[in-house]
Amino acid sequence: MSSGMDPIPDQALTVARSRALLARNWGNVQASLLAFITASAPQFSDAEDLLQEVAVEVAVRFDDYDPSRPFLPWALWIAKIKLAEFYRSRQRREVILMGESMDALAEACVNVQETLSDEQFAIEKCLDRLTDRSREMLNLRYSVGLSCSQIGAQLGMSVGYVRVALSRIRTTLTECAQAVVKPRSA
Amino acid sequence: MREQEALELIDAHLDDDCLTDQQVEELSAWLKENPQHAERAYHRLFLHTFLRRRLQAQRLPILSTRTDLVPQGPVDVAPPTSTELLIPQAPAGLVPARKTYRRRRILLASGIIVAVAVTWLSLMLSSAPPVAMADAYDGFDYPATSIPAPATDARTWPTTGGLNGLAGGTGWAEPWQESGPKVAVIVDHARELNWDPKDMRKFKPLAHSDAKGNVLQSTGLQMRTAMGPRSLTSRKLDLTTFPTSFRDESGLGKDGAVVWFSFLAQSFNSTAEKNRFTYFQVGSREVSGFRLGKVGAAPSGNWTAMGLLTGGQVNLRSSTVPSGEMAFMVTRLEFRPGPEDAAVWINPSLAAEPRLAEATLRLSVPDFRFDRITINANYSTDIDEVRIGQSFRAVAPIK
Repeated sequence: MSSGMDPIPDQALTVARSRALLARNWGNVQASLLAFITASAPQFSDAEDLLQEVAVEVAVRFDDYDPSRPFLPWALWIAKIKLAEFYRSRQRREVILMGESMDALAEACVNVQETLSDEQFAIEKCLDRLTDRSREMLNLRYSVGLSCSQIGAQLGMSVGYVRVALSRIRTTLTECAQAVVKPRSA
Repeated sequence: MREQEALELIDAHLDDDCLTDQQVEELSAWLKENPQHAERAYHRLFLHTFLRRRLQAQRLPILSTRTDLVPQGPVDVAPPTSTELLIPQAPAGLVPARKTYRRRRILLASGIIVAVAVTWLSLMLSSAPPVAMADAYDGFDYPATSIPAPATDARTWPTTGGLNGLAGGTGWAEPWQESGPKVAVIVDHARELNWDPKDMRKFKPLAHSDAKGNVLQSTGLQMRTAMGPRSLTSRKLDLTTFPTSFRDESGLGKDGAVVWFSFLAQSFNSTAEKNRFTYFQVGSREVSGFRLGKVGAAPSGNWTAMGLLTGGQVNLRSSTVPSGEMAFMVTRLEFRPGPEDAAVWINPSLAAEPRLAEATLRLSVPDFRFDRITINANYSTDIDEVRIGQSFRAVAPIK
């Protein structure tokens, strides 16, 4: 009995599977890639634009990807190419971290990839434990997008105080997240 | 270099602080020293990007009163220690059971008192008459502007006249002003004959009705922004129509005020590519403000809202509603100490004030005040029924 549907040609099936594989792989690594890109493109808007460019390049070159090998190192290789292009197009801006430093970070990115979903869960829990003052400073920095000097002006603090306070909030979150992750993974 | 120093340098780098050559060299050397260092650095980078994405999606709630946010005394002396950054949490089992029971009784009693107070307050508020009239309104009840045919030719679009000097409506301190190379005009939809085949506005004039048959009050004709570069149309508000609690010396938006505004809009088509923008703005781009419309930063052309800060766009939120479709947009701006809270509903039900949880767009906007509205356009878009008021009903009256 006919199902009433036309059979899907083999080639179309291959393309559909390839797209599904690309979507799944990209979804797994994009947060890791963004953190890697941010090391060399600290402006969030630049980093997000670069991530988009990496996504396009990954899609264009996806036929070259060998599915028997891990996806993240291949995507990191493309990200490094895009970062180099980014800096070539902005010749006057100083490159802070490139070359061997970025290779070390790329290796670290691959090594810790498996732990990142637990880490996100832990950070989320730790955000709940922050004091109002810490929450407000994080909101101003990351939600509103203010610079340290603008946050200082708004809260009546010096820029130096804001920098130190934000850094300590991040260290506190890191330590808290480690404490949350350890019992979960134990 | 110690780990903490390295992480602080990474923080400084990501907070746009310029590192010296020596700091960059030391940081690079520390990173390459061993894989653990690189992993620690990577975790810090990940924390930054996680916080950015997480807080862009949703701000962290402020749990108690805001008094702890105001620095007391000379704050530079001692930034907070890590133990001061977390809310103290007693380990489970350390609080004696008797004390816990007493605390629960106190909490229960406090809860009852708060519930009674809230009920009393809500009764008091519900008995107060709602402000159901817009403080400022323009339905563009003016004669239609004569536009040389074809109406979609940017080269023949009027460069003078337009809305300049029109002074209808209520709640305004001055007439409309045009300050762009072209002008916005008044169009009579019923009499327009030379529609471009691709113009999505030809179906019917701007209006809004909800699924229950409630119809938005509407008068007059409608305004149309310029084809091509560009019209810049603004009008100053009469701030005295608003209560003193809504304004200070800088304009409308004193902390504690909740200002609503609404308008109908539909663009020639839905794309915003090639810098095709039309937006409604309060506040300023140079200092801070709020913008709602179709914008180049969202090339899909869907209706989009964003904050403005020192020349940049922040917290851009894009809807799924194309700008080529007619839309009734209602915005609620809650002015608070620090950033303001903006909520936008597109085509809401007119029956009652919509819930914040149902807002189409929700974003935090940098602290700002305003005393005028501006409609800036690089693309032809129709706008009508501009209202600013103190309540949803004031800006969404029904027939």
